[in-house]
Amino acid sequence: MTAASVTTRASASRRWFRLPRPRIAGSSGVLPSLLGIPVVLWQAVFFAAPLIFLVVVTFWQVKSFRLEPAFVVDNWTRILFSATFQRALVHTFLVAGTTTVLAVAIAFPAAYTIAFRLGARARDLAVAFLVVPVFSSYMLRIYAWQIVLSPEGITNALLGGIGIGPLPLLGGAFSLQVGLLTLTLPIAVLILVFAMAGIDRTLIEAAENLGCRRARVIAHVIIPSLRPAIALTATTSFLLAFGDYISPLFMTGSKPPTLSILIVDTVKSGSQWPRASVIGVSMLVMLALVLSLGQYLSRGRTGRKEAAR
Amino acid sequence: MKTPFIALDQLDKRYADHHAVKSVDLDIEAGEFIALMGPSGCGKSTTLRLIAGLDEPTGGEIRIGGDSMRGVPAFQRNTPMVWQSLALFPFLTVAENVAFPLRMQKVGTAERRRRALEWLDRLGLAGMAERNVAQLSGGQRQRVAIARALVTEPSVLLLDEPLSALDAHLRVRMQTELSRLHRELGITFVYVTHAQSEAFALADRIVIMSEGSIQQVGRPQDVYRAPANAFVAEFMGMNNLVRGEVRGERDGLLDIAGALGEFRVPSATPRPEGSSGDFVIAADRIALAADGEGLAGTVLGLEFVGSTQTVFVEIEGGAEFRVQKQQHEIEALDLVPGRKVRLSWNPQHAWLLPQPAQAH
Repeated sequence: MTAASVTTRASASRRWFRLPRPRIAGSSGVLPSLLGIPVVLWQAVFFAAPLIFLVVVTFWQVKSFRLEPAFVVDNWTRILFSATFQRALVHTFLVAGTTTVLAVAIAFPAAYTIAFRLGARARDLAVAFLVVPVFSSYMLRIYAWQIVLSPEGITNALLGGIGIGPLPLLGGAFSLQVGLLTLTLPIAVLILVFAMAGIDRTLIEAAENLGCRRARVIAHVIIPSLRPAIALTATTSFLLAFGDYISPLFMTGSKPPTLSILIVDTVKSGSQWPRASVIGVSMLVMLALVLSLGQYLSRGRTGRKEAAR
Repeated sequence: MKTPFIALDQLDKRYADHHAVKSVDLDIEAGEFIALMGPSGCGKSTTLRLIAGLDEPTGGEIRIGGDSMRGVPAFQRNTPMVWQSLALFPFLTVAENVAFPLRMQKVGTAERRRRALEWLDRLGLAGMAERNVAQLSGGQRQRVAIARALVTEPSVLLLDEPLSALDAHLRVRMQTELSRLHRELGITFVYVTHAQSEAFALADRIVIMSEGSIQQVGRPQDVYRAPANAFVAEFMGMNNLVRGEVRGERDGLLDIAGALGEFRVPSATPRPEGSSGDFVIAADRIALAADGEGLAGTVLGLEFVGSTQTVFVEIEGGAEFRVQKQQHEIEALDLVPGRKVRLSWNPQHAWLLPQPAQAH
């Protein structure tokens, strides 16, 4: 009974497959591409279309505070050659670059301690403490820093108690970095912790077995193994800091302006949507460049050789 | 007396939840090829890791070349290991992998490249130097791992199941290669494996371990023919263990009676009546006949193992025997499952298990 039914089913399925099989084999991935359609639609509607519109707007004109379709390159030349834009661009690059260096430099030893030095329970706890800030309000955390750093804030009150200060902690490069690191550090540490947890421990043992001291293992095994993760940490920190609006606004009072601040200012003063779009598009181009640089660096020497082959 | 090159003295390793190595004593001579064998979890790999300094013993001592290794970190021991997973550095090229130990010794760039290329050449990997590790086949990667371990010309090489990831064909080729390297270099090889064929093919001596303790140390043929206890006899696989009790002695042979019947077994030392008479008879020492004298049994099945076949026979009384036979003998007797057979052997070929040590 069972044997018979199995045979029937088997031959039925064979028959069912016989006709369509060549077509399925010929167009490999009909089903996968069907499944991909929702993602493509999503990307088209919510990413590609606004992006194209953003680029189109850069060529439009504003006449008596009203946006009109046109095709002028005036917006581009005015923005790209304006000293304000150039200063803001350099400033934003320096700020985001500093955040990137600080984030990687601070996150690496922290992640190393969490991944390699803590026990399993302490490690889980540390990861939980890192995940919580990622999902809590960034704005709230910046307000908290204002209370800590302001001239009448907690830090200055404590310093005043021992006869120091008040120090101008809020409103400069220091407080800006504090704000940006609040945004980037938890993510940077998390990326590195997960990457370090994925390192093959036998590689570390093999290095020691082959004469590598504990201290040199970091340089010779851990950092080379983490190359893609370090590149990802750096690009993520840079992208977050580069486009951030909240920290420059609340921690420095917009002076000097970053590119995000400049976009808002441009829109506010005279509804210059096209010029704001020029800044926006320039930022996107720079982010794309930074991302590809990160990609290139993440592959490493041996990886690049493989890709070139 | 000659001092051993590697001496394990009451070596002990306890983890929080289990006792991995229990008071192991072992002397390994310089230039010897020794294999540590046993089922998984028997402590063979832990012993190797203790020699390499990757784990700290919780008791006892290891001496290499007469020097105590107590407090000597792994990176100062020069006891390179070939890992089961190979542990090649994926971010380095083949040549850089091989040169890695030299780089750690601060050998100059040109010199370490020359020596790395020399070893690659020696292992048949000339022309692979600039490749990525990922671009190599399993066998080539294995050779890179061996070259990397030998490039500093150490006096000992540790191997932790190095061939288990390879397919059967490659495994045999690498065995030959390892054998050749051992002969040419004349250094000590300590080889951990669970594969009997590898240990038999390669090792001068084998060490059988179980549950953290050494069960027997000896030349492969001696351990095979004269197992020290029931565990070793069963681990060796091709032995048939017969349980029994000593009943007396006649003409230099012991009379032994057990559930399967009465047997005669030689013994080097006298044994009192009533003591254990467990003995083993090797699978290739048993004669099969259609009828006549001997243990009566029924053929259960056959297993083809190359030049010979293993015949599984169920003995009346419950035991299962393995008998090794040539193909033509099997055909002559028409051994098919269900066939009744008689098993017999020369009593001189039976091996009486030494009496279990008195419980402390």
